[in-house]
Amino acid sequence: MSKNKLNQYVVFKLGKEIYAINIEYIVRILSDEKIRSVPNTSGEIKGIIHTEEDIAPVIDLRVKFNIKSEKKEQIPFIIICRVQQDYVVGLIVDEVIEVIEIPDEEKQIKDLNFGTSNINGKSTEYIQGIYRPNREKHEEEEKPEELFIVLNVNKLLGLDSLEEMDQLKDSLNE
Amino acid sequence: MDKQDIIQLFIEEAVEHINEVSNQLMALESDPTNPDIIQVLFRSAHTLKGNSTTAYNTLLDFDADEKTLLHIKNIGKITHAFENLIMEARDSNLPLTPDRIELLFETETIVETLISYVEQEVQEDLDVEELSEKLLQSVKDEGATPVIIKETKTDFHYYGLTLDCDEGFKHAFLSMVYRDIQDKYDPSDEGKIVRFNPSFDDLMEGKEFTKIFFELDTSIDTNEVLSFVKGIDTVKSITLLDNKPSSSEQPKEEVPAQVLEAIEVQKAKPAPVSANASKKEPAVKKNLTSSTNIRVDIKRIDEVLKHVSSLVILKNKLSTYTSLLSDEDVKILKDVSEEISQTVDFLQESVMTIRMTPLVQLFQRFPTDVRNIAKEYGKKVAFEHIGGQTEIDKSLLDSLGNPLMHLIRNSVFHGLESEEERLESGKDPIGKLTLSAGREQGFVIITVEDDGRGIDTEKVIRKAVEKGILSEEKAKTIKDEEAVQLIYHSGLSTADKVTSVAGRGVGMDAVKAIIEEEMKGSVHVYSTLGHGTKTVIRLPLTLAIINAMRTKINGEDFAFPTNQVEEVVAIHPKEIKYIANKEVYILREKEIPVIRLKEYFGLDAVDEEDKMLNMVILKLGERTVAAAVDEFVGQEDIVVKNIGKYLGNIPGISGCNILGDGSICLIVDVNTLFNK
Repeated sequence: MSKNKLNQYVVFKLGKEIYAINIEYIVRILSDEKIRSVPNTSGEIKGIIHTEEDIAPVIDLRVKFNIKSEKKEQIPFIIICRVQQDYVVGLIVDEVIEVIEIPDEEKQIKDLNFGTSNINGKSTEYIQGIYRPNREKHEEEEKPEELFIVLNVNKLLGLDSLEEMDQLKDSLNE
Repeated sequence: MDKQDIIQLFIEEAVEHINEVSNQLMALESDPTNPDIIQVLFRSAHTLKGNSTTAYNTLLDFDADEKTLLHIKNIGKITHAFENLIMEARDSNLPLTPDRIELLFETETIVETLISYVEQEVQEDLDVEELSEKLLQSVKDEGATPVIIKETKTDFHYYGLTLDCDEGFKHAFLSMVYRDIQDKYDPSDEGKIVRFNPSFDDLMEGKEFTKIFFELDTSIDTNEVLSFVKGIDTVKSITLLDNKPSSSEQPKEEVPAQVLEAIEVQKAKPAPVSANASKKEPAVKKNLTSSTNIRVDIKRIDEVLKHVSSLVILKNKLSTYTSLLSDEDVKILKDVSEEISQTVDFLQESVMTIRMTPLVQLFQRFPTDVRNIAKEYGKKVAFEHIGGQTEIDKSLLDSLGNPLMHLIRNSVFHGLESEEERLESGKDPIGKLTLSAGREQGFVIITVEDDGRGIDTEKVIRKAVEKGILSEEKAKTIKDEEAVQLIYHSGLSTADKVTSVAGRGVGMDAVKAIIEEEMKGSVHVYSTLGHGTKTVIRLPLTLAIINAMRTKINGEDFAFPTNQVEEVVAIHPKEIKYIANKEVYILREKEIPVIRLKEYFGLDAVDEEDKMLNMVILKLGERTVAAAVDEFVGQEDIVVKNIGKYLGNIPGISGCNILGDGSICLIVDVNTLFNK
């Protein structure tokens, strides 16, 4: 997937925070969708939906990241992400805002600076980095500071833990 | 056709041939002079060699992975040595001593490994030089038997041939024509009666040709030959030539047609008549089976299945809506809907049947494996497999290999005792190991049974307590049958010594995980100390489309696979009795535990006190439970969908399906209800 990575990002809001996900993972964005609840799952799982040919579990990012939202009772938008052929997940967000381009992403998306701040919210382990387009310019040009939290989708959607089952199976082959 | 397709095709065919080799080697061991077995072995090895050479040459042009190429080349090399030895046995009466047979087995194993290397793109080297040298040496050891050059007959008629087929497929078609001629006039394939130009080997290697001719012994009537050959499909013309034509043109490498085409279709032909040939002669046998079979890439079937699945959903949708209509005018619509439903049902059944594969395809690889493992551990094992004709969905068959292999290894290593030990306890010195399969109420039951030492439950319990898997308290009351199941717990292994085969404390948990989570089946072990162990695996026939009983719980849809539903009953809550604080329902002579699904699924509701309770009576093997639901909706065929990898395994839910109105219904995982 990383070969021809687009440098476009879908920007959305959770409470007061602004997040961004690389567009290559995103299949479609839904609103007003009826979700079928699934018993015996954790609180962040709102259920599953049927979209096109896929069955997608739906994660409420506001619950997962423990973010306060006035729209908590509603399901305003679901962003459908595909990480593998048969691995599709929906993410509930408060508002989808825009699509932005991050030029030269490897340099522009900076690591969270843990050394000086006290950020240890729930979302930090899924963060790829922080993008501030006006990081260097704002002093002379008086541009307002913008901040996007860029998410690490593979980590967020648990691709890492998916490998565990594969490993277990491999143990039979040894 | 791309690189991957060529490799895939090569693997498929190679697996087929190596399985044949493995079967025949087993037979050869007890009957080392049987010429039929030797002939089949020769053919399989010969084809395998040819295929590897073709694949190797073709892949060279495709810039294939270096190691893959090397593995394929090595397969060709080692099978060549194998073929050479067999040929000596066939033509020069080289005796197949146990030592030589052992070498052949070693070769079979190494080829199998190499095939798996190709499949999994293993980057490691596997050297075949040493074994290949051993094989060649083994031939020479026989006092350097000179290769007897067969007497060459000079009396041949020459026939020229032209074909009527697509230029690109001429290699494939010509080899079929050859096969027909060969089977008709020279079924023993000794090169005495018929010779072809280009030869079989030329075709195999994809050499370019324009002229085709063959030589046939003069004892065969020319008119008969002309009319027979003319009657073969794709033969355009045949002429009797006066002289031997000049040999073939400059050979030119070309991608052979048979590699270009993933599907082999052979038109049905009347079977050759010869009565004794039908049973023993492999060439004839091959023709007999391939005349009615067609090989199709499973992906294409999956594609058809996908569309059929959508049809099934649409069908359900159509009947949902037409059943709501009442007007007289819509009667026609209802009839049409009914007809469509029926046709879709047939279509669905036909597609599912295509995917059904007999288990023997998997079982036949085990005799060699058992033999090798038994040998390694110095045990004597009589292995048999029965019920291989039982069919199961191809995708399930593919997942079953590793778990079964593991169980079989466990039986040989842990279960069966050494010869001395068996004699001491008054048993037959040869251990018995049986793999069997059969159908039972819409399930496939597979058992692995040995008559070995059995599982020492005391020991299992002690270990489980040691490792903190079982509490001291529970250990005192646990029943033997329950305790035995602890072997599926990760980290629990009773093997005293760690070896490469078993006893690493890993494996049984993986076996259980694959069977239960991936294949939606169940596994249960029964054991009697001193008498043996039996593992019973219960699997659904297919995972794709199943019949299900739909119910509502708290307004939401939940479905139960019909093959696990014994019956449905409606009872008054007063009929519920209590045993040890648990609710039970008495159905005939049995007390059945009641599971309140609302509670089990954590739904915000409870069953009303005075309302009749609808219960689905569920069965798993010998056990029964009653699951309380709100209402029964009915039975229908459903297309099972996965809930998505992200959620992993959800207690009580095995999947979902889309209802006629587009909403989602959850499928209850009956197996987990029993583990509660």
